[in-house]
Amino acid sequence: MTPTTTTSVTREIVVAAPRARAFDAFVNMTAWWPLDTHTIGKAPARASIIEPTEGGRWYGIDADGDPHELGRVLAYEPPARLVFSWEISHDFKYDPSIQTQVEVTFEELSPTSTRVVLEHRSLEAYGEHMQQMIGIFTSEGGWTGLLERYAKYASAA
Amino acid sequence: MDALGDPTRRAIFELLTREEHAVGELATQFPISRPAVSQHLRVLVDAGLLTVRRDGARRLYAADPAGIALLKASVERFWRDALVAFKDVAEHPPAQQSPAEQPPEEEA
Repeated sequence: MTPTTTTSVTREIVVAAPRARAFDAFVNMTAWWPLDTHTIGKAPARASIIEPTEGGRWYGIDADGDPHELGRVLAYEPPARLVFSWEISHDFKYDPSIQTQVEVTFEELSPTSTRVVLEHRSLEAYGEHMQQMIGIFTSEGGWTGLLERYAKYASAA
Repeated sequence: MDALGDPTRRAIFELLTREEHAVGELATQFPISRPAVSQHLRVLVDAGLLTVRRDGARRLYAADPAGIALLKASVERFWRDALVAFKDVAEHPPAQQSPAEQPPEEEA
């Protein structure tokens, strides 16, 4: 099966950091991932780990210290590109049959600034659960809490 | 019930995310009968995945843009906020920047 068309979302952001540091900061996901709200294990999560190699795991560690799978590292090409699969179902469980992908590219604008482009694709994999996914993405205490938390930054940017 | 669990149904849905089609048009593109196509369409409509529009005697099916657009908007919003948090970390690295395996220190 060749995925020709996909429902995808693209965001980009420019960071005042060299490309290598931007890449490292992204991979160091625990430092910025919304662990208190966006975890599939027992909240708040302690960590969100991207294993720094192609074929590696992307997993979380929940409040009890238990790991839970989130996806796989499909491409690990520092400092240029990172691709991982996001295998999280509409009811926020690990589900390897849900194959959505997140591709992140890091483009050097200057020695001290980097454009980061993120594409989350194959969202149609949620199929008839799209409505539930929307609910989860925007639920109280879920994505909404996150929104409020970073609203300041967003409006300042 | 898993509306997209069936490979043919999934293929039909994917086609309809690109372009709207009538039952007859779909039946020519898949090795199944017209009633079978109708059956698949009914499942997809019931799951809220498709919209139906009348064009004379024909009924045209398309992926429901509202569902897709809403999902895209919510995913987009999630990444917008996550990336802002990432930007903050990239620009102001924590004092001890931990490699991936290290458990994190608490962040304010």
